[in-house]
Amino acid sequence: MSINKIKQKLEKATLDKEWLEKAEWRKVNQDWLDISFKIAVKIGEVLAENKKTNKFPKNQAELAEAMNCSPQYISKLLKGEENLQIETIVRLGKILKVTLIQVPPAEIKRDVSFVFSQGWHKIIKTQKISSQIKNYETRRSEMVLDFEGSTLLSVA
Amino acid sequence: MKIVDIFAVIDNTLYSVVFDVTQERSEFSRLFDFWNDAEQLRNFFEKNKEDLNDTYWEGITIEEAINKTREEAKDLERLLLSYAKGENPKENLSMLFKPLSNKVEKKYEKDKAKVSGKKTWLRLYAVRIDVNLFVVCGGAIKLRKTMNDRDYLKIELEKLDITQKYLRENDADELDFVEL
Repeated sequence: MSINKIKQKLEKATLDKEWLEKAEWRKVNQDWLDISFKIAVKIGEVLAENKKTNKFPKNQAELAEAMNCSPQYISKLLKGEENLQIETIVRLGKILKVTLIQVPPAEIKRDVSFVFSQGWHKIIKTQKISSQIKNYETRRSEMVLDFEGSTLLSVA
Repeated sequence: MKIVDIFAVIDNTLYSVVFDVTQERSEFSRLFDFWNDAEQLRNFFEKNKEDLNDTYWEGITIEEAINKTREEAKDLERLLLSYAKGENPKENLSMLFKPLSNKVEKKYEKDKAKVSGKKTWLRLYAVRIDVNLFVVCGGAIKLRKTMNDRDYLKIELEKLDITQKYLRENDADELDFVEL
């Protein structure tokens, strides 16, 4: 009986649209939010380090001054939910003397021939062989090449 | 601190209290914003660096801790969002919430929700009203084993008690309730 009374009370509760909308937004925008967040963490790390060694810029106000923007914008940026322009990221990197993003080297598309001392070889036609080849191992009868899918941009 | 409202997060299943100190924002919404805010997280971990340095956390840095928190929050939010959108019709929140301790409090149990499988530290605290009916009253980045030796965890215990009392105070049949 008491549970029913509480249930009746809860049934009248307003829907928390704020969370639902924000959660949906975070889900839809996850890819760039991941990058924005990691950049914010990196900037926070450099500012903290600069504070310890008393280097400029060592806080949000000084970074805003160096960026010629408002402290409010820097505060927003440091939350990790700002859709940053590449120009802004590069400027921040220069001011903080740190690489915030990097693009992997171009991929080479060609046939690759591997010749082994055992006297046999195998030609592997690959669509994409790049510096992202993480591991390869050879055996007499087979060669295994493991490589990940291409990444266009990564956070340093 | 007192409760000024209760919001529905998932109708008939998940609710969240609103405390007077959080400017009309539900605890649920406030927590996910906190766990997705790199600056607030840095402030938290800098303040609680000593707990983070515990050997249990294997020398994790503040930056790793911030990223780990957001990843956990992402997993938890996605899971709850799928429940909210009815994408998990065969599952319910009772499978997610676990008793906070061995102490069973009759009709109301203090529960926590966490992402299972890994060494996790995110917690959502709730009062269970029925089999699949929960009222969230707080949450934490739990860096300690117990909840009673740090202010940021003690306040969560207090919020659980406030919520429990709030629900009971509004119930004229409280004693009947205990007897069930």
